[in-house]
Amino acid sequence: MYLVAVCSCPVGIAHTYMAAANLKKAAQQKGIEIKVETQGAQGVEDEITDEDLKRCDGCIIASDVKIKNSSRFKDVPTMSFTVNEPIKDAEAVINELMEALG
Amino acid sequence: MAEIQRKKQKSLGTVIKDAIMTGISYMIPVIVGGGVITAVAKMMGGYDIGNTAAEMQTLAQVIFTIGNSLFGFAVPCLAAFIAYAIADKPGIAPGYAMGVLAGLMQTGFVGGLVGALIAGWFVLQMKKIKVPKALQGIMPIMFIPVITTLVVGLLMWYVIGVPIAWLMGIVTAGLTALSAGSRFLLGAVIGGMIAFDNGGPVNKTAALFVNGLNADGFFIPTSAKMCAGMTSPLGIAISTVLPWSRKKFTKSEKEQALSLVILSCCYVQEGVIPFQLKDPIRLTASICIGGAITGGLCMMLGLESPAVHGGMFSVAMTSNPLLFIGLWVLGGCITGLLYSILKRPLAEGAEDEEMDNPLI
Repeated sequence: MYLVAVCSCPVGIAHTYMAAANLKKAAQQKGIEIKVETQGAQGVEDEITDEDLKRCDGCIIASDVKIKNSSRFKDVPTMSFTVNEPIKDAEAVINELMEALG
Repeated sequence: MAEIQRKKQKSLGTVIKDAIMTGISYMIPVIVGGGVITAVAKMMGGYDIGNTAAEMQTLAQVIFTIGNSLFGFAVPCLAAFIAYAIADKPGIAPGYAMGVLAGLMQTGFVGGLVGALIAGWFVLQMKKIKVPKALQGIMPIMFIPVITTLVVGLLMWYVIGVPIAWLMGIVTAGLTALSAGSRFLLGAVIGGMIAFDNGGPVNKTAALFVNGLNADGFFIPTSAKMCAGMTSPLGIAISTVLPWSRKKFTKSEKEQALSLVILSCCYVQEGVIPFQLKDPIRLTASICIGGAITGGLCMMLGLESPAVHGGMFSVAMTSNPLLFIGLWVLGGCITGLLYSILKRPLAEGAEDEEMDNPLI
């Protein structure tokens, strides 16, 4: 199982990175590989590449703003969350996507 | 996007909120940059340099003009990226137009916001129109910007903008004429909301209002917002070192105190969230009271902050840096003291569990 995620928030200095950190931690505990792209005030970091897109099974978008370059996920099962959801409970976010993926 | 629908769908309200937040996220560097540069010019050349800046004789006047040229983009930028969030790239051009139009009509940020939402929606509808293949390519670069800007622009100028301009006139006149008591009340509401959820929806609602007023040139509510927001991390840090409450915190919580002070100096409230999740009611009550008192006093004393972000790095730009620091520390002490009393002691033999704080 390989997931990708994009985190973003209005100011881009705190929530973005807290959500990213929590998603990585929860995925690690569940033994799932994840790559998290952050779109904070500094711009895009850890960008999800075409290779990641080919390989991934699902995508989590945790954002309160419109994310950059969202059209690249058109062939990936994608689920959108607010940025606060993974901050409160990242495991539930991952579980919800896994359930939907079946 | 191969979007999987969740059980609860995104409501229209969420779509609009996300669009506004996108606009704000692009506007923030503009108002911070422009606000700080004009504040530097004010420090160099006196507080009313804005009236004489057009002369361009002194360095201060030139710096003011540079800062102002960035600041002038605040509302257009907000509007452009609200429309972008709704309608993607074709929304940007009409959005900019609505922002500039809002400035000309004296409708402030509210006018830009409403105009951009309508423009974004209009572009979205135009994108649905089926056109012959030969015309498809020039739809987004020719027909969409021309028709959207013209139709929504005329609509704003003759219909929707009029009541907004009237309303903003009342709000701005009201804000400048507020009595000390009502200023305190408004500041306290702003401060309490800013402190309430540390960057969550309530905080963002208050910040939207304050940043919008800042983009329209009202700098007093901004000090209430920033100063109040800075009190929460400081307050929690204080409560971890007070002698009677030290034992109520775990070791890893106490280790975060210094980092919380640094976060507070940078006006990053979010470091408080891990504490808030653990003990929501008591902690929220403490930070709200501290924030409300600081925010209220900021507005009552007429403290101006042209910069909407920056914490300690923009204190020098405020109209009274010492007062700002004083109110910040005061609010922090109130929050810290309250929480040190309200917080429950650690349970007997409680595990010293590791607390993750991704910001630290």
